[in-house]
Amino acid sequence: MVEQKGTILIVDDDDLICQLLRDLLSRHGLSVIVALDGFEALKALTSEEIDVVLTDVNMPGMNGIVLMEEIKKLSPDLPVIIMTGWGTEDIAVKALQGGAFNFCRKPFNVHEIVRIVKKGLESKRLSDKQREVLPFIELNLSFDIPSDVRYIRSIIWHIYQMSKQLGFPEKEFNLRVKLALDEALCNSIRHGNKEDINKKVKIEVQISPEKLRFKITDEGEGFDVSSLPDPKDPENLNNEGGRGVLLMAYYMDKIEYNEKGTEVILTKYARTADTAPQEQDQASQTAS
Amino acid sequence: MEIITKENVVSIVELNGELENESAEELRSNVEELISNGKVNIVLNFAELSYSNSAGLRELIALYKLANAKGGDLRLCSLQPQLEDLFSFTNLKKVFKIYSTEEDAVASFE
Repeated sequence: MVEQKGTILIVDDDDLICQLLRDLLSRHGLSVIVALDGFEALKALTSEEIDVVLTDVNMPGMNGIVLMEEIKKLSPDLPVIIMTGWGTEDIAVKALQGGAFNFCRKPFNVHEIVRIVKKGLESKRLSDKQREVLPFIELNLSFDIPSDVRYIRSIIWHIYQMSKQLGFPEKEFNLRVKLALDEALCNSIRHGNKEDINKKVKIEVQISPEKLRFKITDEGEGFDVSSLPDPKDPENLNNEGGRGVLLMAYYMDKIEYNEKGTEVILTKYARTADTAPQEQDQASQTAS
Repeated sequence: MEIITKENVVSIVELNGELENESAEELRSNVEELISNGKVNIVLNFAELSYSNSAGLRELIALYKLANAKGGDLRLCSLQPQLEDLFSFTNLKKVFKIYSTEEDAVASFE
């Protein structure tokens, strides 16, 4: 059997425990990095390629459960193994519910800890393998919904779950895509189909880690977007409506309408926030 | 969405969750009831509000106009960053008086 390679981050404020674990795991051919508290561990995670984290629960400053929660925000697939004392099963349960890969009790059973760490390495290897194909996946979804705004939240939730699975940035979705999609669906249902329950709204979705594209088509008579008054104009600020189209243009990278005004295509690229203003200008131009 | 109303000289309405099509209607009936009972000075506390779409903005403007028509005002406080961004971009910061804290918003009526 091929010896597993990998780098283990050990987090414990007890220097002696760290040394014991370092010696043990090194003997099994693994690289070991030691952090004496949670903050040091988070720093190591940003600078080193870590495959498994092995952390104590009781540490000053940041306990192991909080550290695990922080790690999950950075790297959801990174296996975190929690070390607990005997008689602290409630902590172990809490850790597992919070997403811990596994737990082991102190004082250690040497064979058990090596076995759990190796399982963690295997899990990391598999998730890395799965991620390798993510850039080549494109998921196509289609919804045909009656003209009722109550469906909007569920539709957005399904699209969010799929885009999250494929690695489209969650923050980008929650801060921008969600609102633009909400507005586009609301427009199609309320202004396009005039909430006629017999008319459908078709939503065609393309999801990839780099891009989200939504084509939304209603069965209404169509409307001319350019005829809408500018809701940012001081004269129109007290108008109650008319902001949906503006928000779509602000939060998406590209908006296209068909000639009849019954179809809108929204595109959002996964990218860092610091490139947003320029692209937002372009988006506004496309929408106007 | 959960709406908690504390009534005094100034009524404070705490919004929780997301302000969208359905919850905006709920907010409207709560605030309209306050106004019809003569409670026309209102602070909406957005500390626990994470999202608003244009239907939410529509109701806020309608309620703002209603409170003003009855001689009062509707002011906002404690906006989360994404809602700050929304109010900035739409120029609605020029319509609403917005405060960092509930205390500041309440004090502004004195």
